[in-house]
Amino acid sequence: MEKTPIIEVQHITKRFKGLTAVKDVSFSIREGAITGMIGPNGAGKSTTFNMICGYYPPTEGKIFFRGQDITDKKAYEYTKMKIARTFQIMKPLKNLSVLENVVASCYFGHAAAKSEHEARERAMDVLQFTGLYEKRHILSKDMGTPDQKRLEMARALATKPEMLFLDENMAGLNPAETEAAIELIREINRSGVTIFLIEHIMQAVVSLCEEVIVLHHGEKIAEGTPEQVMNDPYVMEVYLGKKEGSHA
Amino acid sequence: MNEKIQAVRVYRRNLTIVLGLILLIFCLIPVFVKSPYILNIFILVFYMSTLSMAWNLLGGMTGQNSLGHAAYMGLGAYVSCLFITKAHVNPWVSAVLGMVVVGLVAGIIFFPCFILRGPYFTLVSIAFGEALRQFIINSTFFGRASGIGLPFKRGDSFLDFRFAGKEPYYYIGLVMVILIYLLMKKIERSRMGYALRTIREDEDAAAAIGINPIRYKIMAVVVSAMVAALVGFFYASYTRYIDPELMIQAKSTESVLPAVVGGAAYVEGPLVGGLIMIPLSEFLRAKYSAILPGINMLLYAVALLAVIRFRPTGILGWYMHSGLKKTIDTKILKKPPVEVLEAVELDKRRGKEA
Amino acid sequence: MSIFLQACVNGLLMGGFYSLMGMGQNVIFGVMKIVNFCHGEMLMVGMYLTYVLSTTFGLDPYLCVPLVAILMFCLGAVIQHTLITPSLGTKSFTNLLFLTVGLGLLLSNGALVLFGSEYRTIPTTYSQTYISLGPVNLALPRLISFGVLIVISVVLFAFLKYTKTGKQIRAVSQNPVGAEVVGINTKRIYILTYGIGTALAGVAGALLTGFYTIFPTAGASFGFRALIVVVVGGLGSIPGAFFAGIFLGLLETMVALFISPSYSDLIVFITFIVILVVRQLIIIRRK
Repeated sequence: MEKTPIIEVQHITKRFKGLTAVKDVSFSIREGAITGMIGPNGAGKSTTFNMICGYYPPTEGKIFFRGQDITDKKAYEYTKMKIARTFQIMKPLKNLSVLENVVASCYFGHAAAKSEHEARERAMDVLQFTGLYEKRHILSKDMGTPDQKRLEMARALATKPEMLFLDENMAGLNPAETEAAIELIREINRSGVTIFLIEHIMQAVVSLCEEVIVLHHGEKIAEGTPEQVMNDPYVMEVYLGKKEGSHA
Repeated sequence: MNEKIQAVRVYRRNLTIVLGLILLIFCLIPVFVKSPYILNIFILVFYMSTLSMAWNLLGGMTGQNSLGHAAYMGLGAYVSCLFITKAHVNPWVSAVLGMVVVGLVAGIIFFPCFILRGPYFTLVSIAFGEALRQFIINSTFFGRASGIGLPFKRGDSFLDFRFAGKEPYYYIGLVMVILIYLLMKKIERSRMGYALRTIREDEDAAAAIGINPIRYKIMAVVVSAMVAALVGFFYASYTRYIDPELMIQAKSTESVLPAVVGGAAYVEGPLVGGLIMIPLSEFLRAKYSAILPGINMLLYAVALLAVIRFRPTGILGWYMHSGLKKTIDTKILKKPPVEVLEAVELDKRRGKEA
Repeated sequence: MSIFLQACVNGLLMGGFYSLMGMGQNVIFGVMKIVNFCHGEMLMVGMYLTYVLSTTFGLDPYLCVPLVAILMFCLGAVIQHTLITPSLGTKSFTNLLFLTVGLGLLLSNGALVLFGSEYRTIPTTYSQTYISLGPVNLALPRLISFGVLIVISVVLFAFLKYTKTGKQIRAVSQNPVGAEVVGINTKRIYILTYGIGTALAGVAGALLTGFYTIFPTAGASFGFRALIVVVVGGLGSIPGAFFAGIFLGLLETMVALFISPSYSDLIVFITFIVILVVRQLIIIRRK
């Protein structure tokens, strides 16, 4: 008997003014694992992601977190439930220092810091962990893309999540930076955080994920281990056919 | 480690001395300056800076540009005056009542408005201010356009907040500025301050870490309006007479200028801007307005445009990255590097915990 | 009944000015996403320009309109180039807001310095001419102004809709980055937009001089009403601005007629707040 999945998505559908972005998608995320979602541009990955994170409600379907229905929860209620997310388009608090960015996160969520001292101390730990400690006094807008991506993760981690959603955290990184990011994600996962990520970079998904879900045209077309998915004839057709397009 | 602790101690001591000296100068001004005109300018600086700090909590810290702060100030003045004249409540109690009423009104009015983002919020704040002023002009209870005066009695009385000279108002104004400054400083470093600044930078990012943007924006508007109401009470007690002119749009603009000129990103911005812009404006008014009406505001506008155009982060924004600050920090205050400060702070806390 | 009709017509004629002001504000806000808080002062500058032109050169106020439009366009272009465009780079909405507020202070006090605070009018031979239309009397200057307003609205609409430059302006207002990518010079469009916006305000001012007194703060009430028009009429919509202006003019005169003239401002502002909030609620619901 398998135990309850940490996240269970049941038949979610999202329609925007007649356009169906996501159609009847169901899957579940195993506690403690790293699960990835891939698919060509416009496959509905981000829409699915945003629905699970409470950004907008699904038109139909339900989302469960440890068996509890969270479909109608607001985005700001998620960190209380030990769920955190990052944004594909980074949203650093531009005019605040890196440290302040993380301190802000420490003040909220299920383990909100009670005092400024506690918040700062915890922020320091998170910065050490994510390798941003040396840059803590730089304004976040003055950092490069790799560091801003790290900061996104640091801000999410500072809310002490048990479930972390990463939205294309490696887009725009060079191979060395990608390698470092993969290492960091593994590290986070080893510390007991379940991870769900959307990624374009195949290398990252294959080396990180235990399970992969493939979306295409808003529908789930495959799921399984990376090997299973990569050998799926339909996935190969979709991906190889689209390969030129997605890199244009 | 010991010399680090020593360095921090020296820095703290120097900082205390410098701040103490500044405070002492302000305390001694009325002792040496007897001119009511000059004292009046200082009192003006105190309450306008306080009003500007109230604005800055909303504008600078939360990123919600209000252009209706004269309305909160005016409403605060009206409500506390009405408690004094109609219900014969003690002025100090009336001040608190005024703040509570204005806080409630602001919270209720802006509850539906906070779904509005960006410029819409500014527009609503203007419309709210104008609507309130029109309401007062049309209301007999509020004394219509002719306003209300506070009862005039002989003799000074602290309990009644009524003085003949300017010195008492000077000191009370000074205390008000300092208290509100400390409050703002406290808010800035608290959970609320981080929430507000996160909202300013990005509302979606704020929601993602667990901040309910509407809740915190309402908290900000309520606190801000209450401080403005306090300023209104102070103003009414000082001038002993108020009318709806207090709430005109231009006054709201004036309340923002010290923050923008001083640097809206800093809690100290309104103080610096107020200390520079208000004496400047008064000086220009005294010197030129009789000869050529409007020239004072014209020069004032030029100064404002120059700051925004060439120093977009305000005077403090410029100072924070200037050589002047470096010189002051290293030569006068002997400030140790940030790493040293952090290390000592961390060490001290570990010691406390152990 | 005739009072009611008269009020309707007056509201309509006044509403035309709000429309014109709103269209100018709308173009600026639509393209640069900044609220031009000196829009009313631009109207006032247009009034004084007309005053100067007609008193020194003896021009008829209505003949001044094209001249005023050109001069105001230049003024707007210069302001945009020297002040607003550089500040757009800082991406600070607060700064942009107070930049235009500061400009407003500069202009109204500049007028005070140059012309003093006295009320001025431009007398014309026809300023007291009325045309009777059944029970309704129409002052000729108001009627001419309204005619000109309609023509300008139609021309502006056609300009934005059909000309290449108009299409570029709309492209920039939809997506500045995208417009830049396809080779549109956004800085030029910004200058053009702000120029057009100020020219429209100036024209409104010139047309007003026929029946309105000229003083340094004459523009203030028009300035805020222009904002109301933009919000109520919808961003980027010229017909929307036109009808919202008319609606506002009618609302004002109706309140003045049925309730009390002193309540008209109060009702206008409250209506504005209500419309704004309801509109936003509808948008959220739709999402």
